[in-house]
Amino acid sequence: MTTGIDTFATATIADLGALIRRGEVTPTALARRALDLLDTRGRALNAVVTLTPERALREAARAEAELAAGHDRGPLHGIPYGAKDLLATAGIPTTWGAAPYKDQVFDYDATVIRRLEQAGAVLVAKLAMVELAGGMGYEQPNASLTGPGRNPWNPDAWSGGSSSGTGSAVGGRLVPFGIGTETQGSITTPSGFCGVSGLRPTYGRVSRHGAMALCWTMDKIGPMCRTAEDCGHVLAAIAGRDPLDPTSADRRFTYPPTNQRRSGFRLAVLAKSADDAQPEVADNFAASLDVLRGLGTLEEVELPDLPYNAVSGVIIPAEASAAFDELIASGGIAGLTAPEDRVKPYAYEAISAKDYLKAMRLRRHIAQAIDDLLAPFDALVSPTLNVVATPIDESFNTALRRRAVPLTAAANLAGIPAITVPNGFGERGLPTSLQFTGRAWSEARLLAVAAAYQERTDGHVRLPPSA
Amino acid sequence: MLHPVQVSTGRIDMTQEPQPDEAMAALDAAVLARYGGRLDEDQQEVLRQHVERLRGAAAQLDAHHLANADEPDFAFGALGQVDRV
Repeated sequence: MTTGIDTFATATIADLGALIRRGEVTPTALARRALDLLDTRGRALNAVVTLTPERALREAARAEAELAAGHDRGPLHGIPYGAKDLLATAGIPTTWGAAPYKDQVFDYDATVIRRLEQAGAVLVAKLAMVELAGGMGYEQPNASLTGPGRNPWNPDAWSGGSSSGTGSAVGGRLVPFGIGTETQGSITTPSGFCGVSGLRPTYGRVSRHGAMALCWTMDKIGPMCRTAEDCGHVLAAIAGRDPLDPTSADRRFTYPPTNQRRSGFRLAVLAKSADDAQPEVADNFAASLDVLRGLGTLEEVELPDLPYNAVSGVIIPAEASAAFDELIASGGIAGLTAPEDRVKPYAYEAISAKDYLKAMRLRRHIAQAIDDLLAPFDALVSPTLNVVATPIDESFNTALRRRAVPLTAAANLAGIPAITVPNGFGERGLPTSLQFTGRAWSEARLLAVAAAYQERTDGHVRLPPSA
Repeated sequence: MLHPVQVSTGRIDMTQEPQPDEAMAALDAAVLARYGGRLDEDQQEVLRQHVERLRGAAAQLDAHHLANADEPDFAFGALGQVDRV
């Protein structure tokens, strides 16, 4: 007989919430299952930094008591989750994935953690990440305090970075959802590699208070989940103005919206975006476009010719070198895991103040050009990545850079949202994925497009071999 | 403005506009003067290559004209929310 807990690997947040409210499973049982899975499969995937059983069982017991008393905090009430280990958690180590910070403990929760607690979610783990969110220039997967992130679909492949543990844990069905962060590709890449639905919100949508700063003007925090709808529920819990982060916007985000569209979308397709893709990636992208033709219109567009990678290639190291000046100047980077991370940050001093300001001046032109491009459309469609997850023991530089989708730098510079959803499988049994990118503050529309796509496809319900 | 290390090495004629190669060498020298003692030869080569890559990115920006009125994409705001009269 199937019991509520047996659906742990397949259930959405809404499914689990319904099971809890029908009394078929308890938040404590869910938390214990997640803790067990993370302690076994999660550690084998190098996805876990710290399990948080005391906090988890306390939050789960509170959820049970509150729901029994009729106090319902909403869709996340009683749902376990993991957070990338760059979000501060009171009394629990927050390592930033880096050996020099392995004993770091804050005495407060990041705003995102606090908001999830207020929503009734249950923190079960601090999840692995690339050291210092990849800001020191890593070029291969073994760049973390906890070892290279392994892919739940094929442990000889990388999970992607820098939100590597969140990708592995959500993709491996070890937790219903997780929190990742992105400066440039750190939510979308592990989501794409691990078969996860991952949402990079608009810059300013989610407070960064309590999150490790890599690049103040580009860092974003977002949900990584099993479905687009789950991303909507999580984003609704964590979004909104926070006095502790002056860049957070005073904009409401509720989910689901009252009149969510399911069709009639006007979609742009990024021209030539799959030209350099692996054959399976290109085939799956073409199949996805066939599905999307049933949801609306498709029009090909081209990215304006602007120096996206050069601009982000100046801004990110310039801000990172300031954020980690003490670590770099003191020689503390010698304690990092990746050999290249012990050297490349010294070069960041070759960027002048004028270079940085010029990049920030060009950035405004980029943001305007991208907004002009996207304005007529509900979303811009592209492959998330032109390759499946790269081998665990190889540099990813060649594969990812040679076949890069140029939208990643452009969209992150513009601070605009995107959602990545799985759309099939490629070589070595690894997931491929599709990305919808939209104008600033268009998360609700992107989620509507992605949810409509997932209603017609099954990439998001397929399970990895270990699940 | 020249970095002090560039001046002290005497490799740059300050009456002339530095050529790109000279500027790169001077930047390498500056970075290596500060951090080179911590690095072995292979690491120093990695450092040189990365300085070159970063300078290449910065040089690409120079190909795009900016007007005097083009401001950086962040805004300073004075603190305080209430007018005082």
